[in-house]
Amino acid sequence: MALMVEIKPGERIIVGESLITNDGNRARLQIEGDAPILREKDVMRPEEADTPCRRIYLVVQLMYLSSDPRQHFDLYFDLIRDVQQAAPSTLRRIDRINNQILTGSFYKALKEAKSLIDYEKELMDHAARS
Amino acid sequence: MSDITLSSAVRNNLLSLQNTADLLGKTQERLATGKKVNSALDDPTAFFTAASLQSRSGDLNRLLDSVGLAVQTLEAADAGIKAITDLVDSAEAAARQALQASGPQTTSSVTGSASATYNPGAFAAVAGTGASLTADAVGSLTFTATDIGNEDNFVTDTTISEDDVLVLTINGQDQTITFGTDTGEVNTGAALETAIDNLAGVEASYTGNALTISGETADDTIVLATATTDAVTTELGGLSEGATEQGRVNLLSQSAVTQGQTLSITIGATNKSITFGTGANEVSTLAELNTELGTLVNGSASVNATNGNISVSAANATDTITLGGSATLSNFGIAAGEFSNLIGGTGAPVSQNDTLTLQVGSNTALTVTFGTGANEVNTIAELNAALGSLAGGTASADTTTGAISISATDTADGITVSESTSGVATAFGLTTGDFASVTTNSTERAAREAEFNDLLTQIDQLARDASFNGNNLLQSDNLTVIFNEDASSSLKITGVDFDSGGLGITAVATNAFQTDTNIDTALSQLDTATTSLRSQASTFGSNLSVVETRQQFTKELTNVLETGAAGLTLADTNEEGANMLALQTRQQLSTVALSLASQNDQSVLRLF
Repeated sequence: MALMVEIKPGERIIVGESLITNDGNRARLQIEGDAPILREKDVMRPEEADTPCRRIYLVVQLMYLSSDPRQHFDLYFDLIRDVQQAAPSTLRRIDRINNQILTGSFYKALKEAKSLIDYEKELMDHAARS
Repeated sequence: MSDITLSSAVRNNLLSLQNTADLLGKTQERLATGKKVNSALDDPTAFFTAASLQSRSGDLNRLLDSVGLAVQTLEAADAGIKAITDLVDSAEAAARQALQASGPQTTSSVTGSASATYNPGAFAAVAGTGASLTADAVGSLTFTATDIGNEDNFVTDTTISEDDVLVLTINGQDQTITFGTDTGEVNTGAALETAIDNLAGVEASYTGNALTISGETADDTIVLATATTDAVTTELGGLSEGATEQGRVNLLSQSAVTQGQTLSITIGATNKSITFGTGANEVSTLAELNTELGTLVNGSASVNATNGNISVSAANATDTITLGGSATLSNFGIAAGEFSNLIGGTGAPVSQNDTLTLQVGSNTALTVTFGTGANEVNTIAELNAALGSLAGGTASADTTTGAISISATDTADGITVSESTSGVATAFGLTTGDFASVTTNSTERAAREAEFNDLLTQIDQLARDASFNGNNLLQSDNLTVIFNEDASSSLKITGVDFDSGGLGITAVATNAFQTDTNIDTALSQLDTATTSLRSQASTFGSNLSVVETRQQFTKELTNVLETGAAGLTLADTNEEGANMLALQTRQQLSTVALSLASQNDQSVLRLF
């Protein structure tokens, strides 16, 4: 069940409630256990979450890293309701996020949320062009 | 089979017509139902998505029910664990209390009964028995001739001649009886008897025809005077002239004593010595003896006037009576020796050479020999001194009741009492035999023990009652909670056995708590049980948290799915894109961004 991660020098990784920064050379870590693991490239900061689907990603990220995900549920459902209403074609993708959350696979949910962001970009680019 | 060739223009027109017809139909349907998507043909994907969302919502609702049941089962187990933990704490308190209470008490002692036949307060006494003296022993002269009474003519038939005389000095006065045939003279045995009887102070009788002349009272003295004719003396036989009897000299005449013999009575430290005889300060009669005995100090003594039994008693319980002297004491019904309230005297419970043996455990036995010799015991003081040397214990005789009490120093030792003859032990309120030590169990510990076992029964009851919907996680039932419709995501909760046996606490046997090690065992079992309970409570707690989280998400999701399905609209990508841009702006103006940021700051992401 061990997860192998490679961290370049200066790169950061969140493990559980700690932030680990690689100070030296390229490091390869083997991480076991139930603690949430998030690599630097997967982290979204609040200032980066400026679109509805990015905000969904942010909330899912919060759920993943939190000890009590329940506190974020209300906000999550508000966000996906708004997005569903605005663009019903997102329904399938949102559903996939929901399923992952439902079964407790928050990391996979995060991945699905990433693909949702990509789809949103398509929609907004299209609207901007026409 | 027609082979109609259409030109492209005609074909295009035909298609366009068909499309228009389709559009008309569609528009009419839409107008009729108000929904933008009516059937699978309009937008098959959207239609089926909506349908599947609705059925999914139904499935999830059914899942929610069983998740809800799982939550309640976990809560029942949790409540059970809490209650069992309280009972385990109470059991621990009971066991600790038992440990603090003192354990069984062992005693080893024998207490003599106050009805001991020995009475230390009694005065020593000697009561003579069997004497057969008479007080008024009458002096008498006995003639041994056997035929004198039958003589009917002394002058003719015997050597006695006419005018021979028998002279008796009676009480100092000479009285003469003349033999012969003249008036007033005696010639037959009968006449002789009558003549003597007529004399004052004397009587005559024949004992087998031998003549006995006795004084009438004990004070009368008779002397066979020397003036008596020789022939008379010879004929009467047996006595010489001058033979004397003194009625008053009864002890000597009875051969009870001889001149000069002594009787010695010592009571305590005071001695009285009486000399028998006829001299001054000497005792010759029972009356004189009684008077002399009456002057005894430290006690009292007397002689029975009817039979001569002497009785002596001390006036202090501590004084011993010692009898002795050269006289034959058995004539007075007594014997020489020492007499105390313990040995020998009247009511004394033991005799010379009786023994009482006491032994504590296997220590050296103590044998008390009763008697008057050296190292022998005949007083209460000597008894207590002897008892003081009992090995392995203490013993003493009560100076009031005479009862002996013994106790062992090592309470594990028993006490053995034995006697040389029957009656010695009961003299001191004891019975012979082996007396084992007695162990009494602590009632406090027995009560705590009952409490302990009772609590275990209650624990068993609680464990059995911790079920919900037929599922008892405290009696090894397992619970699987399914989180999605195809059961690919689930949580298996393993049950445990938390009745007293499952927790490793065993009920204790009767009187187990009397022994410290048994209580320690129980306490260590309770300790282990408490650890198991805590650990399991924590496991169930985190299981419950996971299940409740999923439950909440599922609830909100079914809500969203239903509203999503109902409000499904067909918009084209242009419309959707525009909607998204509008939403983006709207969100920026709302509090969404703020709350997202604040939630972010409370997590590890704030470090980024």
